[in-house]
Amino acid sequence: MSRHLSRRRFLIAGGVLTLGGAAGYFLFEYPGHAVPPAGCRGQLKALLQARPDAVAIGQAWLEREGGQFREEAFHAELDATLQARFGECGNNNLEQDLALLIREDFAQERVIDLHGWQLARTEVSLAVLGYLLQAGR
Amino acid sequence: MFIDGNAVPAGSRIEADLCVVGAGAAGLTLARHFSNLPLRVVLLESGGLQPDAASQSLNQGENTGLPYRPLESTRLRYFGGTTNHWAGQSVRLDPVDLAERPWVELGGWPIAYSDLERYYPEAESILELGNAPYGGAFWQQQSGHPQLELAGTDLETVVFRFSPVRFGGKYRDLIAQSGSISCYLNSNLTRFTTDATAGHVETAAVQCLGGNRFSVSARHFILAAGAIENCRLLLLSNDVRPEGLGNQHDNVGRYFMEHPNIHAGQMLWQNGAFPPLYREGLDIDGDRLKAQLVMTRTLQEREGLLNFSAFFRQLNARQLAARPELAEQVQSFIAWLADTGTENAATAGVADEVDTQLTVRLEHAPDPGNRVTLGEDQDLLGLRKVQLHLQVGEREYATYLRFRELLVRELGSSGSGRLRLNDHSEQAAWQASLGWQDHHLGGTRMHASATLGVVDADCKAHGVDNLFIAGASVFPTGGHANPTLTIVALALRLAQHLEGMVSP
Repeated sequence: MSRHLSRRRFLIAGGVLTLGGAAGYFLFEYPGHAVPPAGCRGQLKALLQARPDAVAIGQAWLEREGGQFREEAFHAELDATLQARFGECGNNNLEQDLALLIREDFAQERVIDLHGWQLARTEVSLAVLGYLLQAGR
Repeated sequence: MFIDGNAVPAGSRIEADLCVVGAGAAGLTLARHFSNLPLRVVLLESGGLQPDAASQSLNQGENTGLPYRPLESTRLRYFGGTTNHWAGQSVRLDPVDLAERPWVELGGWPIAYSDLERYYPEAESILELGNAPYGGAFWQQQSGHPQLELAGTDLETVVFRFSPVRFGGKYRDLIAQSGSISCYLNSNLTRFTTDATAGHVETAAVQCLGGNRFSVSARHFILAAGAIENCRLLLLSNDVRPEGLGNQHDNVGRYFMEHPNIHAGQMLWQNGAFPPLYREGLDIDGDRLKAQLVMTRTLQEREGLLNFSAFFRQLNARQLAARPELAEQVQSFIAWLADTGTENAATAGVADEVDTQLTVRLEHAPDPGNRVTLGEDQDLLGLRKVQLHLQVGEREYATYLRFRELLVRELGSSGSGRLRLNDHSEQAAWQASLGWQDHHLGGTRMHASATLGVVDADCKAHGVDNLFIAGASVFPTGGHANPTLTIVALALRLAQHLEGMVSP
């Protein structure tokens, strides 16, 4: 996969990998991908497992959300997002692509306030995944 | 030449072509202009050549609005005025600052930007600022330090420069040796006396703290005593009209403005280093610089915003020792996520290179309720002290919140870093947290109509045929720019105008 994303892929991914801050749980904006992209999830898992920073940020967000977080919806949305954004993955540019996605979040003002920190929805999603992985979920 | 007002024969009347009240940036710019012309110019200075507590106490006043510093600490009352302790930070006003803006009630100057712009080069020369532009691209090339690569077109980098000039020191010899300028020290204007219609100033009444009194008669008078004192002296000149001189429409003292500022949050630089171009004290070939982020005119017009600027400052030791919650985690996480390919670049940076404080400076919209009035307390001369009432309104607050959103957007989408915003969700608490720049603007605003302003486009007081006003008190709006450069430019413009009127 090219390091630079096509505009179409960017728009799809930017719309999908989002957090529904107001609703308190993750929202699907691009449903319809029932098959989990095992390759991407595996790559992400490998990346995030060694990140205590992600765990701390994810935990902080989950603590703030309290009972409004819906884990099943989160996983389903994440899978759909990964499928739409990265297909079957297997590329070596996942980190760079995520960084681009985060920039696009900021450009579109898809931002989450966490203890005053203004973070892209995508990076909070990743942090939450990091926390869940660490918790064995 | 310098003359101590205490040595002037009591009750005498000094004759002059021009009488300039105040030897600060505006007054000394005027004096400099006239120093080589065959004119008799009297320059009245309240203080001496050095600061003294008694003269300084004449700046006392009462604050009745938002929390504000003691008025006597915001200005200096001796030869050279407040430039004796100013930081020197300088930038031009933007064209949008002078434009009519439908979303800014009573905004708009009665002069074109080009009419001000042509005086900026000489003003920059006086302030020893050089003649370089203020744009970020120029200074990026000049310094080799990159400006922030902002993704959009809503924010841009402007590079402020710092003047080393202290007017008192710079012009002391010129005044001492001038055959045209007589600078009377320790000589306080107490009021203007006028004809029976209050349409023509006849004398400037002067009193020294030692008790001596004399007066100055001149063809033209220029009030250049600073924005607060300009208002006060007009209000005190009420022998004929009880509302004061030039105040037939109750505008004197109104529309007073400042540059409120506030610590908006904290910036965590993604690549682990505070960009050098944005640091205070950057020196490029003798030019002291500091880059700031400002809103473009396009953005202001599109969203109906005021003109704000933002700058970054390294944290002090106490602030660094108390990093906010999640700072370390966000620092390392965003470094990992960065597309620079530099693993944990931010983690590798030292803390004071990574964390900086974000401060926002606000344009203060003109509001007739923000004003200078006379209080009941009296100073050492028996003159009524001022009351200052300042508030900051809904438009400033709305612009502030939006500006922060835009900074988050631009700094995040450009990969520069992440902001942690201070909680300013309550407007009242936000107002109470505001700081000030000691930039006193307005109070004798310039407007073509006598009903909406105190001076006309030539800085002549409406309804008074020989009284002119210099300084930031004439600003109808103040943008975000430090005012001294524009004060000097307007003083040059006024000097040229007066020269045409008084030249033999």
